[in-house]
Amino acid sequence: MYVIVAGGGAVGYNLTKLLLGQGHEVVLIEMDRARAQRISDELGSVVIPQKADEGRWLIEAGVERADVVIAATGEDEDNLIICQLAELLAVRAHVKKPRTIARVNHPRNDQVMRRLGVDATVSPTTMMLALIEEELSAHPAVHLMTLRQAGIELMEFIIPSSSPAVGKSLADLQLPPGTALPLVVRGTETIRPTDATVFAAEDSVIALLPIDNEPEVRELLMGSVE
Amino acid sequence: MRVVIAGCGRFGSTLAVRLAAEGHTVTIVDVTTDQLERFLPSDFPGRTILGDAIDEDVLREAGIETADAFVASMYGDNHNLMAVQIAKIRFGVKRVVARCQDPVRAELYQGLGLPTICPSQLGAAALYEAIMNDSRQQKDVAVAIDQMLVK
Repeated sequence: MYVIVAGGGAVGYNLTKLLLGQGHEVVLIEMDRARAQRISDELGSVVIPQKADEGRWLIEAGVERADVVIAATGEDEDNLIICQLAELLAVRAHVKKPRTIARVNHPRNDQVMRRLGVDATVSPTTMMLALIEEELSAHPAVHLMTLRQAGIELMEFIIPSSSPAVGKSLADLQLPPGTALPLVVRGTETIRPTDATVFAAEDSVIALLPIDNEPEVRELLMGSVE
Repeated sequence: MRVVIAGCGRFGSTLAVRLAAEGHTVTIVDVTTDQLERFLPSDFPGRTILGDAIDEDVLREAGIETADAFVASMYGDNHNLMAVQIAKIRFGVKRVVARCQDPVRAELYQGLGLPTICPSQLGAAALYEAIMNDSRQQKDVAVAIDQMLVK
């Protein structure tokens, strides 16, 4: 895969290092010259010491053939524009748009950035909050990933013993159309559920569902909120 | 007209004062009171809001939901470009314009239907006229910029 990473801070630098280690082609764009130099000394000439929100440098970084563009700078508005520019430049060059991923520093910007075209957002604050929720609540429903263009959410539900789903089969549940359950984890066992699979308390259910159906699916799998 | 302006630097404040003088309802947003105090006259008739204009709550407080126009003239191009998109796409404001110093970005976003004003280009053109031509042409350029800024 050909990946462009914008922002050579802790996130961008480590991402670049990991991706290179996995054998991918990576170009990092980092505007601070000293930092860019240190990174290229260590990882090789994979760094462009410029600003990633300038079309010229995105093009030089090969945005027109990139598979993924990751905007990992410390500013949300910069990350948004970097992702949008990457898409615009690809469209202008009549090539396939890269998948855009943006780091979101302020959770309030998460939704708006996805609405404005960023394919995936990573919000450290939101993720930590989800982990905290998991700690506090014995039976969380966690958002793992949003597939924006398809309008789909990937979620994990841990079935509480009080859930109406306990003892019912997948067919019985009558989940709304468009819901897919690719996996159920029961202890150390991984199950590919079929219509006949019966749910048990503490099952970890991985579900793909249209975003709008979340309340209904949550109710069917978890029961009502106490 | 009800106008919301984001960013109270020279651009935003000059525009705000002019619009208010012409009788329009003006609300200007900035992240610091410093800027608001520094650039607005003490008798400024419009409303001032302290906050970041890419925050929907701040925009709502500034009256974006009933605004006829939104101008983004904050410090950074990206900040302005993000703000006008929120204004237009999220709140449906009919007239938006973003100050964008980078001519490449200005053109790309203009092409997407987001009006941009590129002061660096306008300024460079004016400076060019100033050194190359006589004073009559200088005056024409100044009038043209003046009109362009508040279209």
